[in-house]
Amino acid sequence: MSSVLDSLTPVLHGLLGRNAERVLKTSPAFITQAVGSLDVCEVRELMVQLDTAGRLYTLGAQPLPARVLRAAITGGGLARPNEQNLKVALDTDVLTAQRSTQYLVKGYYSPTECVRLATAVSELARNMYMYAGGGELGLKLAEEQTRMLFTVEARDQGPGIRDLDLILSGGYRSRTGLGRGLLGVKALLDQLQIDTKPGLGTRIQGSKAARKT
Amino acid sequence: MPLADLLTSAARGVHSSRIKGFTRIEAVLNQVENFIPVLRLGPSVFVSVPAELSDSQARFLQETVSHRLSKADGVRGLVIDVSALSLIDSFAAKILGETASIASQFGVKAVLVGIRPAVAMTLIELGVDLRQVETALTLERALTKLKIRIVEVE
Repeated sequence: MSSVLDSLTPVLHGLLGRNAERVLKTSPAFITQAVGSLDVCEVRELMVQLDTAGRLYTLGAQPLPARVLRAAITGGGLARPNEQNLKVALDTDVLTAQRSTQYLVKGYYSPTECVRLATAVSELARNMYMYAGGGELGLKLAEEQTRMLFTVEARDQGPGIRDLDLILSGGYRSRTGLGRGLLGVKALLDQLQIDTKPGLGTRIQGSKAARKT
Repeated sequence: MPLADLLTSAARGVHSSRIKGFTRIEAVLNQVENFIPVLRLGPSVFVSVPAELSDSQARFLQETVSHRLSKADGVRGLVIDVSALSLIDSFAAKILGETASIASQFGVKAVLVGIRPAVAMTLIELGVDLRQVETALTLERALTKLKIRIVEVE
């Protein structure tokens, strides 16, 4: 597979003429990677850089066509499905988890869905921080043939969840939260799977799909 | 890790907990940013909830509000502005509910104002009940609920 640099060079030459070389020279090092292999963050960084350079060399006359550039970078598809693994140990990590989720799904899910997903992830992260003394959070956005799939996995080595059935039936109120965290997460996501053993920690996996736009 | 690398990684959206030492810096920054704007408006106090609510910020919010209300004289109402808050999970909802209860301990009625549409929808699905907290769509209606009228003077 050709590199991003190879597919971007002719496009930029067509748009900027000789100035294309200068733009490419100042581009981030990762543009030598294969087409379609950049992750969401990298594509965004490159797009911003090209946009700035485009304005500079066309003297602001017209911005470079983002759609064409993006296609050259990603090979027409979505940027590589992004994944993020976070450690949850401090209270600010919960906020990081919220932010990461919104960053990950932004543009692929509707704004309301983004808030829903971030809230669900926040509940899971907060649970780990408050009750399990921290843990790990895996966020993943994958592209399937007809849909986008967001999955979240929360793992901890905490005390486990005791009255799981009671909690899921809605008859439980915790001392600190509203006692509805998990129930809420279940409502916000399509699917939720909870594996827990007293004293051996908890593993919660959930997912939500969205139609491709 | 050199500072330049640290900043680059931060700028690229690589998140804090992955980078050693970065969490500490973030914690310090957080301390600096721990500031809750509280304004007096006639017989009411207006408090803005920050865009994100961590545990420590939530505690700080409650502390600030209770401190202000205990000192202030002739305050009837507390307007809690949540329009900046990007999401309300069950924890944030609990904090807001508690803040309202704290206010009522001082004989002050609390009104929540400016919940975003997406946040409102999420709250319903989450099964969080904010009914014990008075809410209003706009600041004007919140003030009406607190029986405060704004009069224009020529």
